Amino acid sequence: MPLFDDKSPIEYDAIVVGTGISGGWAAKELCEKGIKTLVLDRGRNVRHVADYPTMNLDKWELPNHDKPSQEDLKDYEKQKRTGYTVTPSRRHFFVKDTEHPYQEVEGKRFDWIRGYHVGGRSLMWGRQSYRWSDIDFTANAREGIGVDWPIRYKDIAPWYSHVEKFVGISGSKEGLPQLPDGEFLPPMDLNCVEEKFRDAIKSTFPERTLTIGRSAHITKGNIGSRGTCQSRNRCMRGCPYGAYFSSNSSTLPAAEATGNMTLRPDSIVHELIYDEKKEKVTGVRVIDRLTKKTYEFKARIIFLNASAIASTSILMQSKSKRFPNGLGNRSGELGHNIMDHHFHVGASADVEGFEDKYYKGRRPNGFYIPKFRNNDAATKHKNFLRGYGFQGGGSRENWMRGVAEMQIGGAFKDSLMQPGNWRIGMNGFGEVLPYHDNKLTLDYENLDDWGLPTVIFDTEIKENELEMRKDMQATAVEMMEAAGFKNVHGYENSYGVGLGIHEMGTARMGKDPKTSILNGWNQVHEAKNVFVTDGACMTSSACVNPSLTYMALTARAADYAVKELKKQNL
Amino acid sequence: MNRRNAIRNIGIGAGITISAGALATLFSSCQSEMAVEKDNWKPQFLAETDASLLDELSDIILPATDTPGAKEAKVVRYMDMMIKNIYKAEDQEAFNLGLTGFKNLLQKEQEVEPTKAKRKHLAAMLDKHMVNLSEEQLAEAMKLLNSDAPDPKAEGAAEHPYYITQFLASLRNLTIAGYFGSELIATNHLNYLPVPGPYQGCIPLEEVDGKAWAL
Repeated sequence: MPLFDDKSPIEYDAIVVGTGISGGWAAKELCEKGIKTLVLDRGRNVRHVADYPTMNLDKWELPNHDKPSQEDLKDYEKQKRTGYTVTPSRRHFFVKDTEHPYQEVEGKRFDWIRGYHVGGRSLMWGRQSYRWSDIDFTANAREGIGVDWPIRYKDIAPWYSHVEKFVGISGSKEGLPQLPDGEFLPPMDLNCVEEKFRDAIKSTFPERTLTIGRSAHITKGNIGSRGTCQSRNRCMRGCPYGAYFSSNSSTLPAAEATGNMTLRPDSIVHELIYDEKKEKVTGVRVIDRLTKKTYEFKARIIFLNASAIASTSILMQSKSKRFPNGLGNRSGELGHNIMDHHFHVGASADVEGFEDKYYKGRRPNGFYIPKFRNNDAATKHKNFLRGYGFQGGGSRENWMRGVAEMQIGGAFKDSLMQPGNWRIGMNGFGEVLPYHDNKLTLDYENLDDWGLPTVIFDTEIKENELEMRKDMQATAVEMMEAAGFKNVHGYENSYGVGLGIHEMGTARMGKDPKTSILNGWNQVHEAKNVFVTDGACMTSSACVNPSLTYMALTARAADYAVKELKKQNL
Repeated sequence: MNRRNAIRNIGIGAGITISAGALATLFSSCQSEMAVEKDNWKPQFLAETDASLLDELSDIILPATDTPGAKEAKVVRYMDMMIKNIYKAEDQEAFNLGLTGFKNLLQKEQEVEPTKAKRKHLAAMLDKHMVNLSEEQLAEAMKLLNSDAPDPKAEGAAEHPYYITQFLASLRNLTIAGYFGSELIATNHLNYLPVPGPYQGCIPLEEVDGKAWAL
């Protein structure tokens, strides 16, 4: 990567703050349009492949068979809430809470799970990639919730196509109005038990569909230097084949190839510099993570892609005479309306039969049951607005089943060398409404190691989500029972806002500067050379994984920004 | 609820969180008849005599057939490492109490010094306390595994069935996880395929010789 050094200029055409899934796209699109771009990330550099130290290790080669030690956990008090982030194979991609503290108001948990390094969470993301539909874009307006989206599906559809072709999304076309099809690579297989489940759902519940997850893995051929998925399911450690999409494997190398990108890791952006006369932002203020020296970098346009919470926090810290409460925040909405997807509710069951069937490979994907509530008048639910989808999978039990069988001896041992019975499980992911009082604020009393204010979260899910959760469990159970599965067990486990790692909405898009921060092009209404295209921009949350939408919105905004630059409008 | 489902949760819930320091020293002066290992390995958490005992117990749970037993897979090393590094302090204490309780029971029921116990004594203990449980005993064990720990500092805590039951659950869990998760077993005796290639959703089991995937 062309890294910033002493000879690098301090002035650029554009600055991109953050290198995660949206920042990578901003860098690529701007650089490919000939824009000299400084790309900043607050964390260390992570080079594709070279900096994936655990990508090929088996668990016996990892400390404690890849389980977090009590010693490890002390540094990750909040990150460990996921149950999967602090393992020796992954923890280097997640922040230590001891180094990056935040607060939660009494009794209201918020799980802010993140990684501070080049590539951000694009390295560890879930890779599920779904388009929004107009059912989602029009929901706020139809129901009088929050504010209306300033865009519709037709505005973003070509940009979904644009990013999908570069990302590589495997999936199956289903022709569903609530989940538009995209530019798909061949779908991954469902296994035989999942196919049975699909067929049973289709015959019992005509409005419901089971399809293979649409995931950002290359299933055929290459995209650039990226190769085909080898079904190792070690994606979160970084992929030596580059088979799943990340900034590190994909967008940043593309930006680099143009010769227009300068990358500066270890650069904590904390403020945008606002020029009251020009009514524009002229640059960013940076603290070097390692030396704590401060810098100012200048540019004509700024893309904020630091992640929803961090981008919002930067705007809040950018105070001026015109914007005493944070840049672009005359509406007072900045930091409010935090959304996520609520989950940890669903069902699991035993599946009889198929003893002579198995599968080959560790598929980094599962099945998906798209939203089937509140899609139209016929599917309207009386107790809640919006809806949810299910992600799940079927598999055969492995030797772990032996722990529960109170047997011992050689025959018992040898039986565990064979696959066990089939099991199936699924987990719902539900939409969270934008509530004004779900918010973050900054604490200037408790500063971090760089002297910057820390974030305080005040969030909870409310009646609509709680009602939805009841239905999620009930329908998960009813579908499994309809398929004839045995010992169907519905479950609901604790959920804290943020645990979905889909935090969004804190600088929302809207038509009116009085009620929103960003316009329909992701521009700050009142400082038009600033674009925010990460999760902060979201006006509602839908129930699908959001990354693909962030990517499409970013590419669309970058295209617009460059056109406006050329017209001398910015 | 059938027996298998009734106990399905044991290992996952109870086992992972348990184990051994203070009382280890009580027995460390005694000579063990059970060789731990011939090389330089020394337990970090367990007393050497306790490591020998657990080595033998693990090998009774998973003995050699035409595939290796738990001893050959060095399961006791896994146990020692996991108890030392992964268990919370209270679970380490609980494991120690349960181990002491188990040894006291061994002495009482088999009339043998724990450090002199033979494989047959230990097998008899596992048969009685793990394998041949009546439905009532199993239900009681389930209840204990899901109940709160009694005061570990209380007089005679090691004798409390809670700790012995937790110890046996941990022993099972650690033995099975340490064995099937070992390089020896995973790469030689399960179906080890680190780079599978494209996922195939439905293949005949016989195509992989009926063997489970290692990873």
